[in-house]
Amino acid sequence: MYMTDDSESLEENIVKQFLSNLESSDDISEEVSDTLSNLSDKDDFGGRDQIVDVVLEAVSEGED
Amino acid sequence: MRIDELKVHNFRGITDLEEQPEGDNIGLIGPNGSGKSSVMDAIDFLLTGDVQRMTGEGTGDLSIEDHGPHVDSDPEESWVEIRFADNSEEITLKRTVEDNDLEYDGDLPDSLELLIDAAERGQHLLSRNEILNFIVARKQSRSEQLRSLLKLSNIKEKRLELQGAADNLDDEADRKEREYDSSRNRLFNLFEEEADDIEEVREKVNELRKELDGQPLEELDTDTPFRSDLESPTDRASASPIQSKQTKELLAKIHQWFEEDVEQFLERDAKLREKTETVRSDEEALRALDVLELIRDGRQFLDEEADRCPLCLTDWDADELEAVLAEREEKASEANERMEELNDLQRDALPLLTEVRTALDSLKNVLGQHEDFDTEELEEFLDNLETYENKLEADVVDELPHEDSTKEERRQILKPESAVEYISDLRSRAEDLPDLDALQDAWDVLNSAYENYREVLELEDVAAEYREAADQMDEVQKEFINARDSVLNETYEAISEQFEEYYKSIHGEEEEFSPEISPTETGLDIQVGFHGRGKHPPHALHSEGHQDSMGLCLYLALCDHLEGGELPLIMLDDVVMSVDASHRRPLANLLKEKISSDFQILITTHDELWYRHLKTVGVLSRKSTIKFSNWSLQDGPQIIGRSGDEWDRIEELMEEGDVQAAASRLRHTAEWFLQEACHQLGAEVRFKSDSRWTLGDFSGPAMSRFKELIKQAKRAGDSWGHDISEINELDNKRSEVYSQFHREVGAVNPNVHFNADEWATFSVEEFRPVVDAFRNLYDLFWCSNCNSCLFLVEDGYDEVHFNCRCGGKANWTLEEE
Repeated sequence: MYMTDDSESLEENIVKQFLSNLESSDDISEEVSDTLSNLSDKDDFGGRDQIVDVVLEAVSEGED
Repeated sequence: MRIDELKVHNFRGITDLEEQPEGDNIGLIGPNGSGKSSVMDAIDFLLTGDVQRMTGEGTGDLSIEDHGPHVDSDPEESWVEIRFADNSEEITLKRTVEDNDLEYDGDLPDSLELLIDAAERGQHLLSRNEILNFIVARKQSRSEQLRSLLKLSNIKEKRLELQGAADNLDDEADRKEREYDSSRNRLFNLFEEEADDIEEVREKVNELRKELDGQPLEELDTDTPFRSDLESPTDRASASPIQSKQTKELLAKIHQWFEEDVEQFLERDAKLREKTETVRSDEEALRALDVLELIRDGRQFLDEEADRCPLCLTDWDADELEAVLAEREEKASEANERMEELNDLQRDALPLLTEVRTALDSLKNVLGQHEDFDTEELEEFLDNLETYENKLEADVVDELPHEDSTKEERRQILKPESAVEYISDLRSRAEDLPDLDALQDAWDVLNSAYENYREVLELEDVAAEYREAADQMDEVQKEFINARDSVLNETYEAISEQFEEYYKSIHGEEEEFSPEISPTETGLDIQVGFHGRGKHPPHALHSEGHQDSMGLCLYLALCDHLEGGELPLIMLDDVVMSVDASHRRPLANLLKEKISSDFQILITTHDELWYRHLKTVGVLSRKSTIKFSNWSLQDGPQIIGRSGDEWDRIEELMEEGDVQAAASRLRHTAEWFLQEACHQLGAEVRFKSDSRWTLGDFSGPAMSRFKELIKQAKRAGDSWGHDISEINELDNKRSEVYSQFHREVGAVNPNVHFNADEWATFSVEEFRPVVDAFRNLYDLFWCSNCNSCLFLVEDGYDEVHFNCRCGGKANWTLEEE
């Protein structure tokens, strides 16, 4: 569980909590988690099309 | 960083304004239309390059270029400049209407970047409209407002994109699964009997391979084509041309000629011969037929009036010649009709012959490519057919094919025994060979099945991959919502607690307030307790004044979370209009104790009493307060005394000889300081349900109470053996001041209100003692050193001390030994 940091904005705290949730989730692969972590700096995660592409790629890598 | 110095030049009604709040809270006090909002506009413009008030609904025609500069001012001469400073650094920001660029030297400090960011979203400024948005708005609108305030717009965007990606992947996974099902069904349906599963496909593939003399496959494998190690039917066809469908069709056609068509042809041939004889029998008609065209032309040129031939000049009888020619033309026409019937018979007979001849020709060509086949018999038969056909196509009147032969002889030519046997033999051999079409079908099905099988496996993998990605994305977006809700609930809980603390600090424990802020599907819900009667939306049962303080408290509670709590400046624009008088002091205390330490506050109000509350508790100071009296086109806002001191303004009015204005201001000032004295001294003021207390309601109780406390302080000092000379001195002073006040107080109201008999009858000199009496009373209650009213300290129900804030003027016990 990520501990929220009062010195950071709510958005930063939410994104960090989100990434922490991804890491600890049994249902989400490490590759997908890492991929979304790389996109987290963007306002919209790079848009849904890019998310779809990279998640598919990550799932594919995970299967390899 | 806080505002250290503010300069405004020719902007929005302000000609020139220069203030040095030096980091203190800033007060903008004055009636509506006096120019205080222009100062907020100036700060807004400096931070954002725009003015929030000029960008809302109904402001379409307003622009900074046209409406920013003060009237008749050039845009390059219209500017705002603010110096921000903290303990370690300072920076000056300036923006001119002309180029509208923010000018500064060096790097912009982080806190100012946050302030500018917040200002661009309009979060640095709270007006009553925003209060209503928090409290009265629908859940959706409130949610949007708070999301914007808490800078959560990107969070919404992030959530929507994750949700969109999850939905897209789910849709795509569904599509791939449909494609997989469809491809699998096509594979299963490829076989004569539908397969039920992949294992059955393998069995059926092996059945087809067996038909093609192949070995069974142990298992299906995308790297092993289903036709591997099989000889193609085409190769087989090369080895035995009579196995091909095409050859079999040729043999069937020729066989049909022998069996049926030849007799049909001979029938037609016989009719043709009969008709030919008929035509040949009328020689005259045939001759006429030869010159039929000439006869027809001659009849056209025959001139009934002429009696000789125009060519040879032989005499003729035109009528006789016409009769001869008509007769000849009639005969020729009859012959012509018979010729046409003959041609029809030719056209009827020829196709049968052509059909079998071309079939033989094709068969000869197919077989001729293989050494195993002797086509000599066929070639002779073919030559005979060609000869027959050629003659039949020619002029049969001249010569018929095999003119002198009998029908039986012609049958032998058209159906020679050797050819019949040859074709029969080939057909028998072809029937003994496997059906090349079935093999080709098997071959084709195997190929299709293999391609289909590969597609099925590929789609199975792709669909599984998409489904896996969709499932993971579904979890991803759920985790995002969990993270958002977790952090926001924690934040909302903290805000709720702060909100409750702030609200109760204003309204006390008079009700079970316990606010709950919770996100819902459609927005953000706020429920607050109402006097133990359950929880309701803020605007359901609470008064307008309570709603205003709720909105303000909620905003102040939110401020701790705006920009990570690093927002340096918040601006409160006339936000206490509906907060009743009894709750303004605690509100002022709240601003002083809880907010001022974290933020520099800029407050506007048109309410003098509210300003005095703020000043009394120390939220505002005279130094950092700008008081506006009115506004003129020429000079812009008129600012009352640079120090903001009411007494200075009264003196200014006296110097100007405006006794009525001085009297009015004196009465308001007295109402304020006597009300404050009542509060600080614990005086009992007669209750009025309409809260419309006047000077007389406060003066008596305040003065009596002050006197009581002085007396009590003397008794207590005596009991302890303290030196009470200071108290005696103040008491003596009190006695003089009271006498003076009682003498003069009656002169105030007649000078304030219009009265035909009394109004404006006082000169400045006559009114001077009145001002002095009030000022002396103020000085009696106030410590000039700490600028605070003397106040009573209580311990429970015990009155224990009487002092001023610094203790310089009064610091006396009230408890006797």
